[in-house]
Parts: sequence; C-alpha cells; structure tokens
Amino acid sequence: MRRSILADGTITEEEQRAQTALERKITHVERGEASLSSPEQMPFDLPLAYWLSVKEVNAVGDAVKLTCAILLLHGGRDNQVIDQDWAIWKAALVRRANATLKRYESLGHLGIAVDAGWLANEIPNGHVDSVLIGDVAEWITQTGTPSGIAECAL
Amino acid sequence: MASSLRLLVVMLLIMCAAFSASASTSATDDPSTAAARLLDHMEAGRFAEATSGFDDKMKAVLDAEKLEQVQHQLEGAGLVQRRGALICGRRDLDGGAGTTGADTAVGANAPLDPGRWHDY
Repeated sequence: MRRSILADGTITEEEQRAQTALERKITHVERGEASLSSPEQMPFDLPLAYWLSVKEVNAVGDAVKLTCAILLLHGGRDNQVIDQDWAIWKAALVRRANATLKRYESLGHLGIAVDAGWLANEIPNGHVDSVLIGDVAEWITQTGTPSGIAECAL
Repeated sequence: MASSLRLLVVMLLIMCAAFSASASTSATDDPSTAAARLLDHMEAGRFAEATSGFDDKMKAVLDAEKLEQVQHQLEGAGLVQRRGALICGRRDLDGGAGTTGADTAVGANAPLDPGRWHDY
C-alpha cells in the first residue's frame, strides 16, 4: 500500500489517513486486540482469524523442505509480493538445483503487464503475459519425474 | 502440502488457459465459457482446436505440439485429476481509498459468495 501511495511521489491527506488507519489495524492484528466479530477493525476488513492464519504460514520454510522441482515467478511491478519478498525467496532457494526463479520486470501480481505507476487497487487490463505462459509450459515439459513435479513431499 | 502444490499447479494452468483462451474468444464469449472450451479441447486431445484461436504471440510460445506435451506431462505425473467450478469475478473499485470494493460475478459458472475475498 505504501508503494501505491508513493507512486505519484506525493502523499495526500486522504492517503495519509488511509495509511495511518491501515497501520492501526495491523497493530490490532499483532496484538490480537480485535474480536472475530469486528473485521472492520482489521486490515482490508478481513477477520482476525484470517490474518492469524496467515501469520502461522511459513511459505518459504515449507518450500525449502520440499524435494521436488519448484518454479517461482515474480512480476517486477507486483505491489502485493514486493521486491523484499522476492529477495527472501531468492536467498532461500538460490542454491537449489531444481528451483527455477524467473522475474518479469514489467508484470504485476497477475502476470499481466502494468505501467510503472500502477496502483494496487487497479485491475490491469490485458492477458497473462505470453512469455510467462511459455516459460510455465517449458518448465512443465522439461521437469521430469521422479525428481520433478509429481514428487512433492515434505 | 503435496496436494496443495498439485492444486496450485492445476490452478495455474487453468488461469493460464483462461487468460490465453480469452485472447481468442468472440465478443459473446465470457471468460468462463472460453476457459471451459479450451480445457474441453485439451482433455479430448484436440490440441489443434485448442490453439486455433491463439494469437501470434501465444502460438510462438505455446503451439499445439507444445500444449500436447504439457498435457501429457501433467497427465503422466498424475496431476490432471478433476476440474473445479470455473469462477470469474470483477471488482467494483468505486469504494474509495482503503476499501476493497464489491465483487460482482460474471459468466454462467460464476456463483460468488458476496463475502468472499478475491485476490486480484
């Protein structure tokens, strides 16, 4: 959200209020202050149970334990999985011979090309990038068993 | 975890299929119909028909032969198991800053739970 607010280089009063409100709601989650019946006190009006469930998931840790081949794709203009997240994934999997990480500088979260100033609350028009689709197809056809995609297990 | 990953692979393929198919649909097709038709072709082994509507960009990266290889690889790995309901949604973004807006279902197979979160 912060990245979206700063997309045009300025922060309006409305944007500042929205950011402050979101930060307050994040604090509610961290402290477990709100009840399950008050999702309006939670980030994006989602219930506390949802956010607590997210906190319990260690996606990177789970991925590291996998023995199967892994394909990770990231859009350079993704406002939801941001560059810092991508760096964490890269650091965790860079030494894995059967991990393939690809980054597409002009794509957003959905794998659709977006402008540099794209905001997270805008739905981009267009289709999933054909190069990305081709890379997925190539990875599937090149990743054989038994060490491939059918052998995922913790 | 394994089942989740398999589901993820299938979901990814369906998403790709839906979006790639949408590039080849007529003006009267909704995305769910286009995606279902593409999957019908793939499951029936009609890869030429499946890719017949792809534009040049899509054909360059995923022609009929390549799509057949993908399908056979997934089937051979036991990852083609079932097809879930196709859901297509759009979001009304007029709710202003800090709101998620309202979801609206489109397409014949798009029964959306009004309270359900859609990650766009």
